[in-house]
Amino acid sequence: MSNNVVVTKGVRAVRASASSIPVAQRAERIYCVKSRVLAAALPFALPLTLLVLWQGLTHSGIVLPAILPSPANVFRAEVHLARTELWADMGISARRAFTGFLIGGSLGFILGLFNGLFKLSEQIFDSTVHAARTVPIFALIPLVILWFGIGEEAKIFIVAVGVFFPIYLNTYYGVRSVDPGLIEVGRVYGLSGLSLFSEVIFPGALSSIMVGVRFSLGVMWLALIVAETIAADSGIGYITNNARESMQTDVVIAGILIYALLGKSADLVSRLIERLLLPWRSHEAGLLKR
Amino acid sequence: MIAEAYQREEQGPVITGSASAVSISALDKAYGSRAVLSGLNLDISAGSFVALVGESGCGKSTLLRLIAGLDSPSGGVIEINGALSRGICGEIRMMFQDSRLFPWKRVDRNVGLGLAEDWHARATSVLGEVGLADRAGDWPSVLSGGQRQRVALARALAGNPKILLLDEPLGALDALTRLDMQRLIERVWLKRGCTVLLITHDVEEAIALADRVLVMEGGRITVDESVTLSRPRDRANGEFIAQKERLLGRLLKERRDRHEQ
Repeated sequence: MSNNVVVTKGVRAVRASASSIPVAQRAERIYCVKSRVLAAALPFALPLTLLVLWQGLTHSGIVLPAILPSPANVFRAEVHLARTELWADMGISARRAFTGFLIGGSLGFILGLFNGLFKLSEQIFDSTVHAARTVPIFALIPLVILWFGIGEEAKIFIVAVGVFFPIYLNTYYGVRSVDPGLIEVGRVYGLSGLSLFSEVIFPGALSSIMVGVRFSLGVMWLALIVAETIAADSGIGYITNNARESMQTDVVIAGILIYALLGKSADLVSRLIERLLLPWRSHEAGLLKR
Repeated sequence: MIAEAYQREEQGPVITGSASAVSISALDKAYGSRAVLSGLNLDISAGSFVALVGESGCGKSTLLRLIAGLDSPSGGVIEINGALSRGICGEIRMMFQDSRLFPWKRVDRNVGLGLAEDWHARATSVLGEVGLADRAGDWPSVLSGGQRQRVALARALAGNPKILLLDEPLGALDALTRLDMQRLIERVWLKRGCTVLLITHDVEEAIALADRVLVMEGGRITVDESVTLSRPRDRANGEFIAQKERLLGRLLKERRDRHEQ
């Protein structure tokens, strides 16, 4: 409904400004506006359809509220949470997530750089890191509880370990895959050491590093949820787990949706950072689309 | 501007005297047990334009890399402007077949690579010299192949090098763009009076541009001919064609001999 309004508005605006433009060109412009609106609306189609389906199923009584409460109930639970404990717990969860991300991410980044740049460092660390990578992080949870109890350190540790590997791997790979021809040009033009790193190697590795960052953001939430569900007395994972014990399905689903929202916004932020750091990349992508 | 440059050429070379820009004696280079260059001697006088022709794998790129200081010789001596070569130096700039522009730097920053604080002024002026002053703020990815090579040439010129090494810079361009670039390179050389060593597959290109054409076969220089035709060179000129045919015949014969072995 609201989309239709936007379309007609867009067309009218184009018409108003296009009285002197040939008809074919005008038609093309209208088509262009329409397709752009469509492209912007399309990603929302599936979630909205699912929402309608969900409401229909619960409203008609096909699905019991204890299994799946209606969207309206979930929304009500969401509002209730927002009025009481949600913000404090969301803050706690976010702080855990980002502290772990910063610690694990910077360690992975530094080690990835060193192993990518220096043969000796690679020979010492790389194979051990790959061996450690094959251990599922959740296998560490019992050990982590023994070490840290259920305090903050436990959750931050799990997140840091989970985030470390994708960033390490992509940084290492990024440094290694910088075009040797470009490094050679840098050398011919008088760059060496730090200037070669900052002008050639780091920018060359950056897009791969950003892939690692985005991937690790996914891992970050995953690790946090598991850690909070198993051992916590605050945070969103704690809220949902608590709600499960008192059979509040609506709160559980509300918590899950909040996780989705947090994950999506972290991804958006990382995309934004990517666009800022890699302006030439978005340009290349734009060219391909055209 | 071209006419002016040609006039200067008629008055005599911009850099006079018999000083050598590059002087190479008994140069050897081997990768493992495979000898690429053996006992190579070459003297290039300052301000001259030398073309190096030969089939792929004859060692011409290796020679260029050694002169640039990107590789070190297995034996022999390379002198640059009278001083023993000790690796990469600021007097030599090199241009490659692929433009090798940094995709994350805009055109002007690519050209200003490795320059000091005045990089922007110098990049702007040298971009004007290659006719791309209006593209300074673009990303390399939006340029055409020919424009990228122009930017690469501008980058090579920005540091005012005394010696310009061109490793088949026009190999990947279409015929018209190639002709355009050849004129540009000639103009730049006439104006600046630097020493140019150009590697090319194309005998016609070599004769059109160079004072001296070298043919390299199996790691040695086997032909060393000067080109005395007046500039601008007319490719339909009888002498031009005769010299071209002679050099081509030489290269073809060499190839046939090698196949018979």
